[in-house]
Amino acid sequence: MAIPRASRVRLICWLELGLGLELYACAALVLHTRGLRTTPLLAAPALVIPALVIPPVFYLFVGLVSLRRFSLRQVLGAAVAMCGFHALLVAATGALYTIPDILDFGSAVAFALWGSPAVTLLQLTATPLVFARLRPLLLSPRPAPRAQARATPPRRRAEVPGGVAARARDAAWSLPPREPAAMMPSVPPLQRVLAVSSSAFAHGVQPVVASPLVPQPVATPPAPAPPAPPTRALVRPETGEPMIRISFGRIADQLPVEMFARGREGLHATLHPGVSLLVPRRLLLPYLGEALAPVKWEVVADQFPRDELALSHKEIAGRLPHRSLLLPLDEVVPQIPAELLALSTPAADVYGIEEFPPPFQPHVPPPSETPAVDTRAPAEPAAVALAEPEPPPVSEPREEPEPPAEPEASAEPEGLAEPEPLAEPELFVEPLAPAEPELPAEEEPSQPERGAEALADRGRTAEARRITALLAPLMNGLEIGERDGAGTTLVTVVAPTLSEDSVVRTAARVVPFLADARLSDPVAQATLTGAEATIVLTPFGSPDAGGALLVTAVRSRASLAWLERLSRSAAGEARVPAENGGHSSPVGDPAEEMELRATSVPQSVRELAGSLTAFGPVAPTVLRDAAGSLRACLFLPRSLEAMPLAQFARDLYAALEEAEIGHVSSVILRVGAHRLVVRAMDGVPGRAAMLVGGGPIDRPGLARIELDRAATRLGALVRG
Amino acid sequence: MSVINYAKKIIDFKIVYYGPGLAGKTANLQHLHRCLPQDNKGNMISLATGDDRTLYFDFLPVSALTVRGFETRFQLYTVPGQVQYNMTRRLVLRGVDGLVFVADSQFERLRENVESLRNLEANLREYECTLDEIPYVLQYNKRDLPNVAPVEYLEFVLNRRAKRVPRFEASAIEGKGVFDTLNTVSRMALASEFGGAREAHNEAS
Repeated sequence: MAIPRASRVRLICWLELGLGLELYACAALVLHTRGLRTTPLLAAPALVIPALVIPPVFYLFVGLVSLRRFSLRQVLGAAVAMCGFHALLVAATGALYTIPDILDFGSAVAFALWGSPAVTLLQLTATPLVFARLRPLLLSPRPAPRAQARATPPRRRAEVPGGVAARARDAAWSLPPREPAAMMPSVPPLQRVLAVSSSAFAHGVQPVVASPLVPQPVATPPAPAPPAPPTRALVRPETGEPMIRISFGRIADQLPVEMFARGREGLHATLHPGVSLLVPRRLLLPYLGEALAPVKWEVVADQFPRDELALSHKEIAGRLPHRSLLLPLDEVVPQIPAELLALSTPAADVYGIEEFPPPFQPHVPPPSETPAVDTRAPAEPAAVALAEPEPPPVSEPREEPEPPAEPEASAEPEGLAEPEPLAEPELFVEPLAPAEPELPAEEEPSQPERGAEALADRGRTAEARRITALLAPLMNGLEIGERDGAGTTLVTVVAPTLSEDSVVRTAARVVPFLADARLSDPVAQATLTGAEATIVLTPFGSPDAGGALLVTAVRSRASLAWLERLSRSAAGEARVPAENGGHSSPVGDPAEEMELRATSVPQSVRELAGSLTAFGPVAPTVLRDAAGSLRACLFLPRSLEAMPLAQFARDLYAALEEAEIGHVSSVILRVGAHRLVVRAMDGVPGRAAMLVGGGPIDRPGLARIELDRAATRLGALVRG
Repeated sequence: MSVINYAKKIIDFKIVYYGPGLAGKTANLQHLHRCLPQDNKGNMISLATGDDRTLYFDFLPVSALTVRGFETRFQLYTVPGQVQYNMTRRLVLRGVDGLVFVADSQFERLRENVESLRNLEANLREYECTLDEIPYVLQYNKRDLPNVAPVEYLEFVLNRRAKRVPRFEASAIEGKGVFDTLNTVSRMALASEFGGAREAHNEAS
C-alpha cells in the first residue's frame, strides 16, 4: 500500500531533522578531536553565568525577529522551547563527550555547557535551526480521517486583527483610488470589517462545509458589525458574520494541480457535490466596485483538508496570481444585499432634454423593403456571411432604382427646410465629383450598356467616398480628392505638404504596370519610395468599369505598413467580386526583351541569396545584356520566372525615371501571394541594373532592408 | 465638439458608441440602420474582420430635427473594442459630442467593462476632457442572455462617478433600448449645444 504523499513529506522532514542533529554531533566531535579535551572544570562564575544568560537572551531575540506577528506569549514560548532544546543539546553533547574520554557525565556536561565557546556557539546555531524544523512537525496535525479533520481544524498562527485583510487590501490588484463616497456606500468602516474577518480566520473558521447543512447567509440582513474580541465564539459563521458561499468547483480550476496530494481529480472525488468555501463578505466588498472578487489564499487555506495538500500554504499562495483566488461574481453578487450596492450619488443633471423631442423614431420597414447595405469587407467571405442574419445584398439596392445622385437625401418631414445630401463624416469638405465614364471611342454603347456604366460609375464614386470616409479620421490633415490619371480614376489622399499633381503624375506612370501580363497576378498594391514622398497605390473597384486607384501619399515612411494595410482594407471594402480582371499587354520596348540572357551565378551572389531571410528560400539569377554588362540580379522563389520579371522591373524603373516625386529608390509590389521588391543596384555604372527580390514576404520592412544591403554589396562586387 | 456650417445651416454632432469588444456597439448601429426611415439615414460603413469583429470603426450618418433653423445631423461611430486598437479608439473620440458606453451585462464580461471605461477616461484625458464634460449614457446590453448581472450591480460598478448618468437596459440584437439610448444621448448633446432648451424647442416647433 502506497504511503500518502502528505505522510511522505512528513517523513522527509523528520529525516532532515535527524540529519541536522547528526551533523551537529559530528561537528561537536570534530571540535573535540581538534584538541578541546573535556577536562573537569571549576564552576567559576565568570564561566557559568555567561553560559546560563547568553542562550536565553539570544533565543528571546530569535523569537522576536523570527515570528512574523508579534505576540509576547508566543515569543516567550518560543524562547522557552529553544532554551529547553538547548539544555537537551548540552546534555546530549555531554553524553557524546563521555564516550571518548570516559569521563563522568557531570564533567562532560559542564564542559558542554561552559567549557568551550565553540561548542556553545554550535549549540546556539543548532537550536533555532532544529526548532524551526521541529515546530511545524509538532504543530501540524497528523493525517486523520476526513471527518476528524473537519471536526478539528488545524491551528493557525495567531494574527493581529486586520492582518489578513490588510494583506488582501495590499494584494496586487492595482486598483486606483476611488472617492470615499463612491467607494463603499453604506459599508462599515474598513478597520472594523477587517478586524472581525481576520480574527475569524485567525481562529479557524469551519473547514469545507457542505452547503445543505448551513443556512444561507445571504438571506439574513446585514447585522451590525459586532466588536471584535478575539474569542472563538464570536468568530464562527453562526455568530452572524456574513459569509459568502462559493462552490468549490467554481474555483478549483485556479488551483495548481501539484498542490493536491492526489491531484485535483482526487480531491474532486473526495469532496461531495455542493461543497463550498466560505469567505467573509466584508473582505470582498472593497473589490466589488472593480468587478473583482479576490480572496487571499490565507483566508481560505484552512478550509482545505491538510492531508490532501502536498504543498505548504506558503507555496500554494506563491503559485496563485497575486496570491489570491478570484471568486466567480455570479456566485458572489447574488449574495450581496441590494442595500450594500445602492448608490447614493445624485443623478446627473439632464435638465432640459425633455424639451427636445426624441430625434429618432424607429421605422418598421415593409416586408418587401431591401435590407440594409452591408459594406463589410468582401475580401473575407466569412465576414459577409456573419455580418447579418439576412442574406447579404449583392449590390447597393438603394442606389440602383433612382439614378439621380445620392439617394440618402435627408427629408425630415417637419424640420428640414431643403433636402440636401446627408452628411458624410466631417472629412468631406469638398464633394467628390462623379467620375466620367470612359467609353470606347470606336463603338457606340447600347442603351443598357450605357446605363450599366453609369451605374458602375456612380458606384465607383460611392466607393471612393466610402474609402475616404474610412481613411480620413486616421490621416488627419490629408487632402482628399479625385483625379483622372492614365485612364483611371485616382482617389487621392495626399499629405498637405506634398504636391498632389506630382503624386498623381507619378502614380499615372505606374498605372499601366499594375495589370502587366508579365506578372502572375495583377498588382494588389504598389508602394513607391521616392526622394520626396512615399506613395501607396491600391487598385479597387471593378476593372470592367474602368477601375479606380486609391493613391495615398505621405512624406515619410513612418507608419508605412499601417498605411498599406489601411489602404488595402479601405480598397477591399469597395472591391467588387469582379476584381482582378485580365492582364494588359506588357509595357516597354519589345525589342529590348531579347537583350537579356542568363549567365552563371558567382559564389558571392549565391551567398547573398542566403542572406535574404525575409524572402524565404530564393534562387539567384544574374542577367546580362549583349555587351556582357550586368543588367539585373534577381532573387526569386523557384515558382517565379526570372526573365519576364527582370524585363518588367527594367521597364517599370525606366517609367519612373525622373519621377515628379524625385528619385524612386524602390518599388514594392504585392502580386498574388508574393511581394516583389524592385530597386536599382547601388553604384553600378552604365544603364540601371535592377535588383529584384520576391517571395511570400511576411516582414516587408526587413525584406527591404535586406535588399538594400544586398544592393550595396552587389554594387561593391561589381565595382570591384 | 459639434461642427456648424453657417452657410448651409447644418450642425453635425458626433456620437460615439464605446465599450469592450463584443459588447454590441455595432449591433446598435445595425439596428438603427435597419429601422431608421430611409430619408434619415445614410450608408452604414462597417469594416469587420472575418470573425465579425470591428476592425476599424463603424459609421452611420443620420439626420434629425431642426433646431433654431439649423438642421441637426448626427454621425454615429463605434470604436473597435479589442484592446489592441486603442489608437483607433482615441482617434475616433476626437471631437466627440456624445458618448454611449455599451456595457456587456454578462457576469464574465464585467471586468472588461470596467477596463474599457477606464480606457475611455484615459483616452478622453488625451484630449484634455473628462466624462463629466461630455453628454454620455450607459447602455447595459445583452439583457436577454441568462447569465447577466443585476442592474443594481452594473450601476454599482459602472455608474459610480460623482453623478449618475442615464442608463438603459438593452438587447441591441433585438432592438430593445437602442432608440431610447440614442434619443437620450442625442437630446443631451442638443441640450448641451443649445443651452436654453425650451426656447430652442419653441423655435423648432
